[in-house]
Order: sequence, then structure tokens, then C-alpha cells
Amino acid sequence: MPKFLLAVPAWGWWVLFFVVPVVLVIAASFGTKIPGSAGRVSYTTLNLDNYREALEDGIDGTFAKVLVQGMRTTVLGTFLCLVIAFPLAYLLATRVKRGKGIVLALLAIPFFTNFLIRTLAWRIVLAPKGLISNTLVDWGLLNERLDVLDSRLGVQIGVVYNYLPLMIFPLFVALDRLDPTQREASKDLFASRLKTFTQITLPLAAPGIVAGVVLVFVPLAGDYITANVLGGADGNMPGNLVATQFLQSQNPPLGAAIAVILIFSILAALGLGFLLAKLLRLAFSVDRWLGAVLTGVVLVAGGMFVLKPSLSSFVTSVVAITVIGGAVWVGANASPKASSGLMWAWSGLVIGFLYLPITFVVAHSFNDNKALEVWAGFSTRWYGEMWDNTLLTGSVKSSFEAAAVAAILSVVLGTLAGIALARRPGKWTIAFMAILLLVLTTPEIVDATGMQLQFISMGGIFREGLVPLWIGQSIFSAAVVTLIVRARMQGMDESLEQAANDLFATPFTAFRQITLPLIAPAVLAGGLLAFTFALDNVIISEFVRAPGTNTFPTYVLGQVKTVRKPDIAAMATVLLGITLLVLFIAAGILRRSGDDTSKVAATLTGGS
Amino acid sequence: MSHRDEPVRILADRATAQRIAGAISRRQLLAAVGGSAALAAFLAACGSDSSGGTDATSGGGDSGANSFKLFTWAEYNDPDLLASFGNIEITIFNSNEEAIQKLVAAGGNNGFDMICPTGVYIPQLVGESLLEELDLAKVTNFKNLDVAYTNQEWDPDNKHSVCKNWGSTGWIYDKTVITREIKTWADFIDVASNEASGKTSILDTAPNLCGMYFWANGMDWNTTDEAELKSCEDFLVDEFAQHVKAFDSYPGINLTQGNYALSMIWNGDARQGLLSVEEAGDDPANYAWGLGAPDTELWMDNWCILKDAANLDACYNFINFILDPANSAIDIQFHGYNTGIQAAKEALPADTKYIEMIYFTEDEVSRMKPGSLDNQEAVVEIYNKVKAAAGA
Repeated sequence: MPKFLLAVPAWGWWVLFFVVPVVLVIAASFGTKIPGSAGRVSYTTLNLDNYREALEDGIDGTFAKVLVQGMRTTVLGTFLCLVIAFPLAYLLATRVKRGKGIVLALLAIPFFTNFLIRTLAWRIVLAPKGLISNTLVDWGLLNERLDVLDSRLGVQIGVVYNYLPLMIFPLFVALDRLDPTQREASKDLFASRLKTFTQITLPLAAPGIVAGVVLVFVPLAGDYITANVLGGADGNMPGNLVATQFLQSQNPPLGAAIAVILIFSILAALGLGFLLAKLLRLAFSVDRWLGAVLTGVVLVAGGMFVLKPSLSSFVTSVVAITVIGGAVWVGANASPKASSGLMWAWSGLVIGFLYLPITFVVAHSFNDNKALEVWAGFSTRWYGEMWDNTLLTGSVKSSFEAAAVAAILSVVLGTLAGIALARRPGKWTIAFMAILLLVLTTPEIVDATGMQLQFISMGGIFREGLVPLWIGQSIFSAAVVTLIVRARMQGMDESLEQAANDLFATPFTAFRQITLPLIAPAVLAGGLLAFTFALDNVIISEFVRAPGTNTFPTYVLGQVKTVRKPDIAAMATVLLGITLLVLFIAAGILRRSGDDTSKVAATLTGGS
Repeated sequence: MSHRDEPVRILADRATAQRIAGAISRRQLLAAVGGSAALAAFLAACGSDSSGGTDATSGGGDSGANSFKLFTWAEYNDPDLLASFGNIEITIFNSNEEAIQKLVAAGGNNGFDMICPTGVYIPQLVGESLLEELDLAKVTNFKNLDVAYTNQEWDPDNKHSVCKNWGSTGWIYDKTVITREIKTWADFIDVASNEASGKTSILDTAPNLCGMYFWANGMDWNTTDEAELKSCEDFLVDEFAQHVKAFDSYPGINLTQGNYALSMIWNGDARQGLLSVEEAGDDPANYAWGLGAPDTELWMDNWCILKDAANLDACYNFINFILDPANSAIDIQFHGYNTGIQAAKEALPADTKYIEMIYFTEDEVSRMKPGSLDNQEAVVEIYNKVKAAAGA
């Protein structure tokens, strides 16, 4: 049996439920809305009208404005994530010897809190009549109440917070892999620490930076949830327009056209970014100063783009970049002890930032008020009352059931594919990896809208119960499991399996007795991660969920725009407890199976 | 030699061998079992309470006479009253458009039994064959409704709907921020453009946004006149959008949390907002409510049964239940809207708060104008442009 056959199920799954939906979105973007049908699509006369409508009035048009504004938020958000995460990841990878696992776990916990809840949490943190606002006013640091919610600044804080972990972990993994002897060699050759950093560390960490940037940029560009929760009128994102057309304005073809333009914008922006990075690298190799000057120019230009071109944004950008550059310089030239101290202080701030909203959610789950955000005294009433909210408890139950099946599907498909990739690479891997990377890098909203179109036209079981959620939530997770298992397998030598073969074990026996135990930690980690992703999933679930079913996130999403009650915070607190318990057990199992702490943390957080 | 007891290894190193041997320690097993047991208990707790509702639907028939699924607006019925009826599972929507889209996308009732659409949207729902024709003989309490709220233009002879309640639109503002009195929509626009700029919320529905402009300028809010629509668009996009902080259909609670200084708001939500101010220990005297003027909206939301509803009997039972004056009175105190049942008004306790926000004077009612779908596409387009302009 050719082993690449093992990859066929995953491949088929993605063709059916990823490629087909995306093709449907593209087709719908050329289709027409059937008038008066409240949103059905006709594909009979394909035309460009939707694109014309989307791009009406050129750069001053509705969509163009939102797209540009969304790109500003995305570029700035990605940049901030990189700048905030780097010192932390660097410190952790190079300076921390013991307790790495604990710090990584500390960083991961907020990430395992429900996405929507941690976004909603900022509404409590930044509430104009909240604790922080009141304190700042009382201390005379603010003249008026805090005015960050329902603004672009609110969205910016939210997205940096939400996507920061996706930057920290790839950076850490890349930096952790660096051989310390290379830096020592550079030092022995009398290179300054700054030079060592720019010429050794940074280039070697480049794959981690690239991974982090892509992992943050793509979902951020397609994210409309954070903007929905925190943005108000000002914080519109392009994904919002897509969602509105599909979910509200009853015009899927226009939404599809916007989605297609959004994908191309993301690709163009990423392409431009990497082209610039290549150019800068080239410039650095020609001359250090040329590189530095060009980098400064690019960064200032970028700053002026994200802050809207003006003299003040020019000044702000120059100041910001000087401060960042200065910080790097100080870090590299201060004594190692002092620079470690600075990085520790920074890391402490970052960890505080990561925990701030979660602390508020847990605290406000004990709020004796109908409104989540305004504190009215301590009470445990919501821990009792939440059980009466059958829609809430039912949604949690559906969440777990759907996520469990989605995780099993992902594990089966991903493990088989991962084994095939590691053991039988060949020409087929190119096609396979292409689709896998597309799955990982397509903004969720595109897949979500496509699946909605697909499932509605297929009907039957695709519109009933949890089936659409199983499918929808397994697409991304299967890709993640594939990568984790592949990484694990690649690190292992094939001789054991061959030995089993030589000893006349059937392929199945060899798989069961040798391969499976060896990759078990990866499978477990992949399964847990798949489960968490599925449990956390908002966008796809919201678009595909069958009539009458809700997951916890879609339920919360429904509440966001109305009256937010503390019962969702109480439920989220309980769920956080469960997640921590599960993670704790998984980490225990992984550790006992011989992994060191940083490896455990890396596996659990998806770094491989 | 400390390794004496260990078997000789050739292919696999010690760590690998251990893994292949795959011995799971007792502690690990216990932890795993304990963890799963805790999780199972939690899920059982989540499931048990809702079992009534899920059983009813999984059975697909009328298993529970008092169980059904309702698709409606948020905070729109007293939860305790509903619980006293039976097991009602509520899914909320934020706009009629969103609700209809969800049903159309599902190609049917989406698993729901009942929906509460606004009157003018009923013809569209009927056109999509989404509504069950009502058997008024079964709605024995229909007689409790004042005739003024039956037989409406958008649903002659109540073939598909029964009045749930009706309401209107106005504003609420924080008097500590806005010191002058808002008397008309023109004042509203002026305040929103000045001292409440960046602190104003607008209802997240297209007709209300555009209505504000039409009412302020003495135009019919159902206008299809190109020039009027154009002037509305020009003003809202170029001169108004930048002042809007949020599009929010339930600003009552948000306002009192300090998120806005001025909100366009439905009367019932304004009342709930003021009640929550009291609940949070704040002073309601800091906020002022006003009904839109010189003209404003009149909307009516309705009980409609969805086609092929799985729990038809429960729906009729419920409609009769909610049309009962005593129950209606309980509900009114919660949602703050006129249910069109005269006997319910009389059944309200004397100390019902903000009753003037529920029952309007004749003069106030004369200011209210019903909407239509005549200019729906045009106003939705304007609304989308305003939203984009507000975010740019």
C-alpha cells in the first residue's frame, strides 16, 4: 500500500469542504441576487456587477474606505504584536533556564480562554464607569471618563490582545531552536552584541517572524468579531461588510465579491511586506547603514499609512521607531544583567496585559447586577441562575459535543496525513501542502460564507443538528494536527518501523505497536488543540450552524449587541476551570512520556 | 552498575523504549478518569435542564404542550412569566432583516416555532412562505385586543399575526453631559453634531437612521422621492456619520454605563435602561427620555407562527396565555410596551414605574407614523454608506 494513500482522506475532506466552498464564494461573487428572495443566489448570468458595486466611487467608496481602514488596523496590529512579543520570546528562549514551561503555560492560559469572552472582557476593563476609568479619574490622571470603547483604539487593543499569543509562540519556538554556540562564536569574534543580534539572531529567527506575521496578519485581516464587539461605528472592518451582506442585508453575491477582494488585498499586502523585507535584507548585506536608513524609511512610511498620512503621524512614527530602535540599542549595550532586567520588566507588563481582561471577567461573574459591566456588589447569583438559562447551558453542551467530534475527525485525518507526509514525501506533497497552507491562511470568513452557501444548497443532514459544526470546525484543526504529527514523525528515525516490518509485523500491527505509541504525544496534543480551536470557533460556527443550534460562542455573539448579563461570565469562568484541568492533565501525560517542559508547552500550543 | 536490571537496547534509546512500552502510570490514569468524570458531570448539568426543550424537538412532534422555540428580540418578555408558562427556548435577533435572512437561509422555520417580526415585514415573510396561517378560532383570547391593534394594513384580518406590542422611537440622554433640552429630531441632530459628537448611538436599523433625518426635516419617512432620499444620504454621509459612536439597537443599558451621552432608543428599552440605573444605584434623574417630535415612528411587533412549526399546540397555548390581561400586565412591567390590551393596562399595579413611557397621550400618539417597505432598498443603501462613512 503506497503510504501517501494515508493522506487521501484529509485531502478529500479539504477538497469537499474547503475548496468547494471557496469556489462557491468566487462563483457567487459573479452571480446575482434573486430580487425579493431575501438572499438567494442565481448563477445563470455571471457578471461583474457585484465588483462594480463593491468598488463604486473608487477610493472614496464605502467598501474601499473600510478596506483601507481595516488594513491600517491589521498592519499596525501585526507590527505591535511583533514588537511586544519579541523581547518576551527572546528572553524566554535565551535567558530563562528553568521554569520555561511554567512561563509558557502562563502565557498560554489566556489563549485558552474563549475568544469571544476575552474580547468581551475588554468592555468590562475599559468601561467608562468601570474600576480603571474611575480610578484614573479619581487620581486626576484623566479629566473625563475613559472613552476607548466603541472606537478604533478599542479595536486596536482588542486585536493586539487576541492575536498576541499567535506571535509569541512561533517566535519562541524559532528562538529556542537557535544554537547558543552561534551567538557565542559571534561574540568570540569580537562582534558587538548589537551586531550579534542583527546579524546572527535576527536572521536565524526569521522563519519564526515570518510564521508569526502570517499567523497574526491573516486572521486579523478577516476578523470581524473583535470589531463587532469593541468597535462601535468607528471600528468597521472589511469582514464586517462581508458578514453584513450575508447575515443581514440579504445580498450574498455582493458579500462574496467583497470577500474575494479582501483575499486579494491580504495576499497583496503580505506579498508587499515580504518583498520589502527581502529588499531590506539585501540592503543590509550591501551596507549596514544603507539597510538601517532604508528600514527607517519603510517603517516611517508604514507608520504614516496606518495613522493616516499627516504631519503629526509622520512625527509620531519617527518618535515611535526611534523609541523602539533605542530600546533595542539599550538592550544590546547595557550589561547583560540590566538588559535581562529590562526584558523581565517588559515581560511582566505583557503577562499583566494578558491577564487583565480575564481577571475582570472572573471578577464580574460575581457581579450582582443585570448588566455585566457595571459593578453592583458581590453575589454568586449568576452561578445559580445560569443553569436556568437553558439556551446558554444547551449551547455549552452543543459546543462540547461538536468540538469533541470535530477533534476526533481532525485527529484521524491529520494523523494519517502527517504520517504520510513524514514518511512518503514526494511530488504529491507539493499539491497536498499547497491545499494545507491555503486552509491555514484563508481568512475564516471566506470559508464560512462558502460553507453556508454549500450547506444550504446541499440541505439534509448538512442543515441538521451538529453535523455542519463537526465539519466546519474540523477543517482548520485537521491542518494543525497534520503539521504537529508531521513534525513529530520527522524527528524520529524510521528504523524502528522497518525493524517491525523485518520481524514480519503486518503494517497495521507495526502502526499500532510502534508508530502510534511514538507519536501519541503529538496526537494527544493535536487532539487537544483541535478541541480547543473547535470550542473557541466563532465565525464558521456562526455561518454554518443548523437551524436552532447554538454553540457557546455563537450564543455569546448573539448577546453582545444586546444586554450582556453576568451569566455568560459565570459560564466562561467555569469553562476556564475545565480547560485548565484538561490542560493540566494533558501536560502531565506528556511529561511522563518523557518530554521536557518547554517541549510540552510547545506541543500544547501548536509549535512543533 | 546501576543499569544492570535494564534489558539491552539496540534500536530504541531508553526514552523511546519507554514510550513504545507505553506504560501509563496509575496516577495518570486516575487523573484522566477524574478529569473526564468532572467534565461528564458538568455536561450532564448543562443537558438536564434543557432536556425538555431538546426532547420536544428531537421527537419532532407536539410532545410538550408548553414547550416551543421562539425567535425574537432581546429582553422582550419577562423570563419569570415565560418560565411559568413552560419551557420556551429563546433565540434573539437584532433586526428584522437579520431574522428573515436566517429563515430564508435555512429554507424554512430554522427549527423555530414562533417569531416576533415588525408588522411591515410580515408581507415579506408571507411572500417567502415562512408563516403559518393562523386559525383565529384557536386564539380564544384574541378578543382581549383593542380593535385598533387588529386588522392592520400589512396583515388584513390577522391572517398571519397577532399584536405582541407596539412602541415608538425617541431619545435618551445624560443630562450631566447635555445641558440643553432636546425637543425635536432637529435638536437631536444638532446635539449629536455638537456636544454629543462621538458620544451618540443610533438604532442599528436603516429606517430609524433615515427616519431621524426625514422627521427632522418635515418629510414623510416612507418617501420614495429621489431628491429627498438624495438629500438624506448627502446629509447623513457627509455631515452626520462622523458624530456617531455606535449603531446599537439596545442602548438602554449601554447609555447608563456611560458608553454614550445620547441615544436614539425605543421607549421600552429606554425604560429598562432607567430601571437598570436604579438597580446599579445610580440616579435616574441624571437621564432624560423624550419621544420623537414633530413626527416619529409607530411600529408593531407581532406573534407569528412559523410554517411547519413542530409545536403548534404550544404556540396557540402561548398566544392565549400572553393575551391574558393578567399575564400581559406582568409582561408590560418588564418590557415596557403597550400590548394593546386595555384590561392589562388596568391590571397594572399603581406603582408601576415610568408608566408614561409605556402609555402615551393622544397627542403623542398622533405624532407616530407607521413605516412601510416602499423605500427599504434605498434606506438600507444609505444606512450602509453611513456606516462606512462613520468608520472611515
